[in-house]
Amino acid sequence: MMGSCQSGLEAPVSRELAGLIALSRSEVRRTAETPCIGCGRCVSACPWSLAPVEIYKALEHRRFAEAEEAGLAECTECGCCAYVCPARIPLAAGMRRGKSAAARG
Amino acid sequence: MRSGGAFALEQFPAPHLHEGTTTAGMMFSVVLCLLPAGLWGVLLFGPRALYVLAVSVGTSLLTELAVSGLFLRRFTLGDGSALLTGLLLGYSLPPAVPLFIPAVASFFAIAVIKLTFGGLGRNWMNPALGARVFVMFSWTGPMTRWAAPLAAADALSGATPLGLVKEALAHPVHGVRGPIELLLAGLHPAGLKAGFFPDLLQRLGRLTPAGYGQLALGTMAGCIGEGSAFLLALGSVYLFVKKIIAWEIPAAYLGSFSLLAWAFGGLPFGTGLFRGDVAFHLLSGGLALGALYMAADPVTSPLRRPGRILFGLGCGGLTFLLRTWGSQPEGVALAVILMNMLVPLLNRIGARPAAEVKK
Repeated sequence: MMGSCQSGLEAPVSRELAGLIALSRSEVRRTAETPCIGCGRCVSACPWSLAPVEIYKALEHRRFAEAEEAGLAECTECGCCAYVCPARIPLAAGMRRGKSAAARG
Repeated sequence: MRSGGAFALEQFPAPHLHEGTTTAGMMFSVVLCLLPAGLWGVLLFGPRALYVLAVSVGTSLLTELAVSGLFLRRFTLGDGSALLTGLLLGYSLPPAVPLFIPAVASFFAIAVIKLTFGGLGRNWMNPALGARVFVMFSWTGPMTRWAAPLAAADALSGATPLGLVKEALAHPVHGVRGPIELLLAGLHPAGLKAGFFPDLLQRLGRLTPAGYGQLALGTMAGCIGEGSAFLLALGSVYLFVKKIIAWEIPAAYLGSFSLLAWAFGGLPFGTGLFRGDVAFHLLSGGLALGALYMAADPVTSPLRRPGRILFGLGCGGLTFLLRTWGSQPEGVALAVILMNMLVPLLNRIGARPAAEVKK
């Protein structure tokens, strides 16, 4: 869930690498993002009991203080929120981008 | 986004897998779960009910297509929400209503309540309920003329069970111990004329135990889709299992409502505290439709569990107050809309302040 994408097959494999996953195209098929309907699934899924949707919306509007207050720093980018989101909002990717954007200010 | 190597690999951020649900999937599941109750309504009330449903769904879809396309430059029919709104709205209208009312109501629901705020996910009020209240107060006459199913040939007769009880309680009652007695005294003898398959339904009408049985099956005057509490509850089982609707809201709603109905429902009858008829109140009116399908609408309900429970408690309390002491026999629509307004506040409850480890 948290792995990073490789661009090609010429990537080094070191001893620390826990696993390598190859997914077929049908497994990673993506559906278009639709508006958030506030179902709260991301909130129930978050292992840190954050509200990913609120953090994501704050980040979208560049309200970094609000995102920090909602617990942006505590997010471990595990991706559970994006996994369950019926609107297919890239919540986890948004958190990652948001953290660096918030650090830049 | 592809690049390099001997193979082209798709690149996008983690997580790369998805559990499988989509917004449209959720919406269509709700529509599917609503269908049995609607079909039953059409069967009971006849082609008239079908026209009302067709007009409300059709107008809803056309409005979404036109307004969303013209002003938001988006094609949004595919998300299924306009279909669901049209259907829920049609379910909450009386079958004998003039056909311009479902059209106006659907237009209001989609164009004013939903799209002026930015479309799906941004409206603060449940569109179907808001539109129902809008036409209720604009055309109160036609909205409160009921056709009784399985009842005498005069199509525009009969009162809903709740209307009947409210009417009776307007004058002092003596010797009546609860709403069900008023109901049994005031109703037409069951089993006379139905919309479709009159013979079959007549027989069923005679077989249905009078009173609670009629209420559970919805073989009484009422709105098209709200009648059969039994079929509505049956449909909702799938939604609870698939976690498409949050169980906290209907549980808190029906729980608090039952508790109040039991504790104080006897007061208007002078039977004292803790003598209320819970089953009557649970089975009558729009409670099943409202609590299971409308209050639990994800867009207009809180995000977190504590907020959801409070939301449900508020809906239950307000519904009971409005039903018992309000001017209208029904209270579900107004109660849910009032609680919709409090959702932003309720969303603050349970919001955890960020841990103060860093710094």
